[in-house]
Amino acid sequence: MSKIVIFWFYEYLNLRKCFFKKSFHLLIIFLVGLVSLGTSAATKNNSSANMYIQQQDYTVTGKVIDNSGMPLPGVNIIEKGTSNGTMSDFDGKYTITVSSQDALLSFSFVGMRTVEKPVAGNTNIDVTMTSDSQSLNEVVVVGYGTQKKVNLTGSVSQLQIDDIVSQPVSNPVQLLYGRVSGLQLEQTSGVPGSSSSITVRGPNINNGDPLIVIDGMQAASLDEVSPSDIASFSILKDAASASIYGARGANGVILITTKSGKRDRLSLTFNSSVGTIRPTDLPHLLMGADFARAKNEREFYQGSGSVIYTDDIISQIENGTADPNYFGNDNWFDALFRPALYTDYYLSASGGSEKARYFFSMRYNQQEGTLIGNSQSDDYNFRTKLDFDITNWLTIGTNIYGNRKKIQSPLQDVGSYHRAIFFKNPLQPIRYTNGDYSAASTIDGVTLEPSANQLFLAQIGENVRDDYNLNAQVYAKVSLAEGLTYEPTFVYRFTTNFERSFNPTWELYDGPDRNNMILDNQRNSLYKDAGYSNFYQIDNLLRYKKDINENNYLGVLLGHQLLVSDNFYNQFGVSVQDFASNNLRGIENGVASTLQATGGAPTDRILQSYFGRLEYRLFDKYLLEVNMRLDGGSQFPKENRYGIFPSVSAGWKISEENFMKSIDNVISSLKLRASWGKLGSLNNLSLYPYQQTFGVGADYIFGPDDAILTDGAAVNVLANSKIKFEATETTDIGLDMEFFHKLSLTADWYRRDTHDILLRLPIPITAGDLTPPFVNAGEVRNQGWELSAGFFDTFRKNFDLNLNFNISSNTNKVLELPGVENGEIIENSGRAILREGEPLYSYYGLVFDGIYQSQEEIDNGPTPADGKTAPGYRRYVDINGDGKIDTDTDRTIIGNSFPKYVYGFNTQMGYKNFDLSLTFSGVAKIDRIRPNTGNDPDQGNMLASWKDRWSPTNPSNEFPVVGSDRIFSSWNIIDGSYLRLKTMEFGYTIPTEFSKKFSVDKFRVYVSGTNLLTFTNYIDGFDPENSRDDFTSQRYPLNQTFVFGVNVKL
Amino acid sequence: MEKIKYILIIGLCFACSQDFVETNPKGALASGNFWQTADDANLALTGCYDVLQENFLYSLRNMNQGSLRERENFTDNSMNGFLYQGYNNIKDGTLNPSSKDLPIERPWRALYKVVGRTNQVIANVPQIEDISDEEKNVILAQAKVIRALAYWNLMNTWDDVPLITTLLGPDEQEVPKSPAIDIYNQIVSDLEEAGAVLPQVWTGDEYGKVTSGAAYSLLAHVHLFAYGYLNVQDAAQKAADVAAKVINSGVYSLFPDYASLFTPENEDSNEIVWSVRFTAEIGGNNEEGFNHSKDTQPQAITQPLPNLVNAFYMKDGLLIDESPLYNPDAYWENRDPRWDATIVYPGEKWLDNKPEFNLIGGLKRTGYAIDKYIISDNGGIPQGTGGQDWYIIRYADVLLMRAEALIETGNTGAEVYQLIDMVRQRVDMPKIEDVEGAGLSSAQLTDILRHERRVEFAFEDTRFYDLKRWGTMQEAYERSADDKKPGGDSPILTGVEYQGERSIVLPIPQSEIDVNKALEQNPVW
Repeated sequence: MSKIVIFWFYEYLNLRKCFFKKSFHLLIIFLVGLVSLGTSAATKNNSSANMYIQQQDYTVTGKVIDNSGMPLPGVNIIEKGTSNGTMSDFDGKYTITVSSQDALLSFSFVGMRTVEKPVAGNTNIDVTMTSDSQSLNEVVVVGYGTQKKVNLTGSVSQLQIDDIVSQPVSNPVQLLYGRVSGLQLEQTSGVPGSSSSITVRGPNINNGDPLIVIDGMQAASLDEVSPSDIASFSILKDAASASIYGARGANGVILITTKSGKRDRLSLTFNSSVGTIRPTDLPHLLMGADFARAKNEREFYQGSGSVIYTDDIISQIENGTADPNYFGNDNWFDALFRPALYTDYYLSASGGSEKARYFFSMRYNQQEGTLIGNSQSDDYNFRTKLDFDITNWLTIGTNIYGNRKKIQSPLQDVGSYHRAIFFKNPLQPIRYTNGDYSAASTIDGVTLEPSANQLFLAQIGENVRDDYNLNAQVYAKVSLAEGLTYEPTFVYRFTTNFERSFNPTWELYDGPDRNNMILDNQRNSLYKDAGYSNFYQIDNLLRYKKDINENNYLGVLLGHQLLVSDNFYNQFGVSVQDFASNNLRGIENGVASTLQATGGAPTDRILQSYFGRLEYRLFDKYLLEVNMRLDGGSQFPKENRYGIFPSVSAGWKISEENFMKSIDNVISSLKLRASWGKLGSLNNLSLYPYQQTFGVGADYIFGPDDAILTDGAAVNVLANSKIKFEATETTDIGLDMEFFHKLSLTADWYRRDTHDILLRLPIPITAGDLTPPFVNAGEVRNQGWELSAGFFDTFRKNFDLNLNFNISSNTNKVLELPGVENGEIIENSGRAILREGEPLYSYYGLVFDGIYQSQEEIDNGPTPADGKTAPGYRRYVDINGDGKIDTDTDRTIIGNSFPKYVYGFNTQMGYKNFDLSLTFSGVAKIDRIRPNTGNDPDQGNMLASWKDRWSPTNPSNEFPVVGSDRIFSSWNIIDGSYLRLKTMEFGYTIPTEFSKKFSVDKFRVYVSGTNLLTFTNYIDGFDPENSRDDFTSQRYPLNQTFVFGVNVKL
Repeated sequence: MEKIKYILIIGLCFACSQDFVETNPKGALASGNFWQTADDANLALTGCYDVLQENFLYSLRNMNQGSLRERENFTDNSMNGFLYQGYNNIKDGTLNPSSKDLPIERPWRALYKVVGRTNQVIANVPQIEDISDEEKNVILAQAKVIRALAYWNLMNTWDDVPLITTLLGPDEQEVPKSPAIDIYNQIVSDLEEAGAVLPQVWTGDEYGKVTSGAAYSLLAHVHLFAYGYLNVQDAAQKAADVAAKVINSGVYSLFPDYASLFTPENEDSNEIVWSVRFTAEIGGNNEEGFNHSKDTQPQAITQPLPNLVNAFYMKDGLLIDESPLYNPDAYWENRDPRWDATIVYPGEKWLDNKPEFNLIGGLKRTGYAIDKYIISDNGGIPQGTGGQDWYIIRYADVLLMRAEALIETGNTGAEVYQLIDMVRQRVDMPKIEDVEGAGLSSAQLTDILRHERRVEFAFEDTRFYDLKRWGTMQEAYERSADDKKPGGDSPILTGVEYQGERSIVLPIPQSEIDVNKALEQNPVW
């Protein structure tokens, strides 16, 4: 074959104005070129390949069993040094054709120690594999590659999803609960299709979301992946493991690897589950009679002397004889929520031949919302992965996946219905006796304000959001020389979204007579909008691996990456109204109102990076790894555009030392590792923070008779032309241990110092009333430790036990806030503070000191705040001792919202054909703001716990008198610790002897539940995991699911 | 086989130019792509005019939440009907300068916003190559007049304030106060320079831009203030001279009907020297609010005080307790026509299709409401919308400023009479000679002039700085303290007492002092 020169497409980038599109075309040309090369090479090599085959007709057969004597199907058997391979069948039997009698066979199986056997002239080789519980031989996915766990020098938690029995979970984050140390997961809403926030090793000032990479592609969210597609998660927690991601790695990196087809193993998987969803908890409010009493009490304390609800009426409400049109006694929350349906179907096929491997999957997941009415999410996922070995030096592949997420919700923000009920007089009935939904009722001089009926509103109209996301990845692996490979990858992502909402006409009446319409919407309207965005990613990797000699191993990785968000984020909307009927939904059915263009800001960002890694191992005991990444971001000014993010890490496999050999049956593995590195974060950084920007719309009228509106523009943000990357320096010291080959322990200590944080610090108004610039200021420290332990064993041959436990502790502290008065910034309406030496956004308020029981007590104490206090009000501490309570100067730090401990444990047990798995997750030492602290019946309803409020005859020291002050204090802070049984699953697998008759590999049925049990001291009726810091609790309750499912494998 | 491996790896893109990572905004104007053409200069200049429409500057919205024009409420002209809002606590001395949410922060913010936008134009336009020097100078002159307006208001409200005339970087923003005299000198130099460059009139698409007449009229105000308040002795003569320039230009004249002058129909009349323009017709620009003006009652959050109501003469040029024309039972008859154009009185027929004016509840503190600038026709315009311009300077003001400046320079000649009489006769009020007589002393003419300014410009935001430069704030407080509730003997406002300097200089917002370490509170606060 003639000499072929391929101009590597990056040459074109050397041109001063290199255009992205060009490089894309060139990549295609390059790949096509490689393919054609490969094909011709393959054709050419046929003859030699045939000759090769003629030499190898030596066949080995045998059986693989585990240490309990059970046959092991699916064991990978390969001839070392060749591409010959096979897999054991259902009886553990295998047949392999090897190249010679001197071949070396390798038997590997997930969860088992790999066994190597020389053929040595034998034709029958039986193998017994022993479980490799914590398997330090496990291969761990790391940034741009894999590493054996024994050789890791960074802090990486890997979660093999094969470990988890099945996954009746609606999104991948749920798989992480309770299983990984150093992760804090928090679900803040139970809206169908919602996910959890993820924090790795503590929070930061700027959004601390970790970077998510799915099969090497930067992703927006974990939700893009179908949970059943996931083969493993890797959580890169320290600088050594994450620094290969440089400016995006400071908050940790979550790598997801999806399943792939395997050689010679054809299989079909079908999983299905159906079940119900219920709210984990619903708030308990005062019911009619108790509310009426509270209202009377409020009136009494206001001194009006009047009684709103007579004892007679109250007893009528209580015994149900009051007119139900005016004195309702409904539980609005119970009526607003319902048990909902959960459905999930998953189908995948995978397999491969000698030259090709494939994996297909499809999934459909539907969750109804627990809110009545139009509340539902529909998820569709698909994935196609193909790999072709074109020649023995070239593999190309593609990985295409996409998802559609459709979320239907009521017209208004779903949480707002929840919130509105707190402000509702519970005497309003849900429906009048004629069946109409109520709006308000008036009787006996007690007027209720017209109040929209949330039960009604939640069921009319619609709001549908439809997101489509398509990701395509093509890649090649080229063996250039012994140990040297080149891997180009191109990724294109296209996302589009559609949204529509329809507001129908409706009418609500005061009372059952329909003669007084008090709330209505006489104009129906439709709003639709659509938008799309593009993202490109190009990676070029060069890998070199070399066993220099028996004692020296060298690995080198060099790479270049380009990330382009070419978002001409085209968002456009239209609004139409006055439909002849509420059943018409076409744009052409209505009359155009105002044509709206919503959003539409073009947001193009580019990140160009160069990176490298050097691994060196000496005597297989001493490990050294150096990483370096250079990131150039378009958000930074020219002179600071590139940031350097280095790391260095080392490990010492102590158990490999001779002096440890004598106890290697006790301490089977022991490794000490340490790392240091610097990482960056691009979160929360606006598009052009270094450029002075000018807002348009600053128009003015010129010309006679107000004739001409002239366009104007005005500066709106003060730019800082000197900003640079924020930096996080992480030090990590860790120990990996394994005892008796059964018990593993990993311990880590870390310190993460984030400095040069990009903050908008306040500037004087005299600057021109401008938004303050980003400046590199401030330093925050997260420091903590993590411990995880695992145990696996098989007892009496048929009882398997797998136990895992992890706990992590993190403390967070603001080290420095330069340029800020007293080093503090007060935020969140004065309830949170950033202060040097204290945790981020510490709660800031007065200190609650019990309840005033008498006027005398008030008179003898410090002058109360605002001068408004009476017995039954809260007493606060006079922190500065000036003899009066001041809501400003007597404030102090009263807690913070970050948990001191996050922990979890899970166990999987198998007995004969039964399996049981339990996962617990918990947080401890966490402060939360009490939800719904309102205690003024004039402003709405109160939580049922307020029944125990203070009165002269009930000297409560917890709940003050109705209508008392709402000053923010330590009274509002409550312990949010909890431990919950996150998932429980019980399964039965039909014996293989039986299922085999139907050619079924595995047939398993199970029942599974999430959020089944919660132990907490948090407020009754609220979910501690859903404890967003707000007063109004505009929250959608979290879900408890209970499903029945089947797993079928052919 | 080996031959196939002739793939040349050229290197990992290390030579790619860094420019590849450079992106410029496509959805925003930014320094990377702005300040390059004449269009850019004009966009930014329009942005300077736009800021004058701010809620807390010259929009008629938010009359009760600390807008600049609400300074009238800490004079003897009016009060805020919502006692706990706005500035009533200036008058009783209970204003807490370290309070975090001082309403005065809002005009401070709006005025420095003007300064920020005009400084951008003044600093960047000279750099633009695509524009002639002449055009540049006219753009710069407009920006300087608008900036001068902001500094004039900052100075007459706070005395010493940070003087910023260039663009400052993020770490240069802590600017200390400059003495009021430095602010004065800056304004004078800006306005003199602009007055020489700007045209006398703008026509066509450019009608409404600041003219040399606007620059000189504003300069007259500033000189008069400096003469009276900052003791700049030659400033009175300078005021007289610049006012004369405006008068002699022949561009301006008094509009014959005072009452309808304050309606959208007449906002382009020759009396208007400089206005902030509003329109209800072009979408997105109806900044004007006129709270309640189209409801059952007129805008009555700011309520005229009785001492103002009674200060208007009867038709014969005499005070109500001197004039035979006064009938307590029909006190609305035979008044100076400006009285009815300025004030809504109890029982007055309000909008055509609405009941008679009768204030209710907390708004019924003085019994009166404002009529000037208020729409009395509610046909077709949605509430919260209006197109009425705000007049920064009218020709009547120029005439009276010239008269005042002449009196202050010791001139009591015929021109003084002529000037004041022009203003009086426009509303059919008698000449000075016919009521007060001729050959009056400086002091007598001063009294006549000050009275004339009060009734002519009531609720046009001149009262505060007029009283300040005349040094008569204390007397104003005393008049205000004597005001009685309708039909009663108890005072409308309790605790009104002249606070010395604190009654004429406002505190700098505490939030600003917290952020700017170089900034000190005014010593009287």
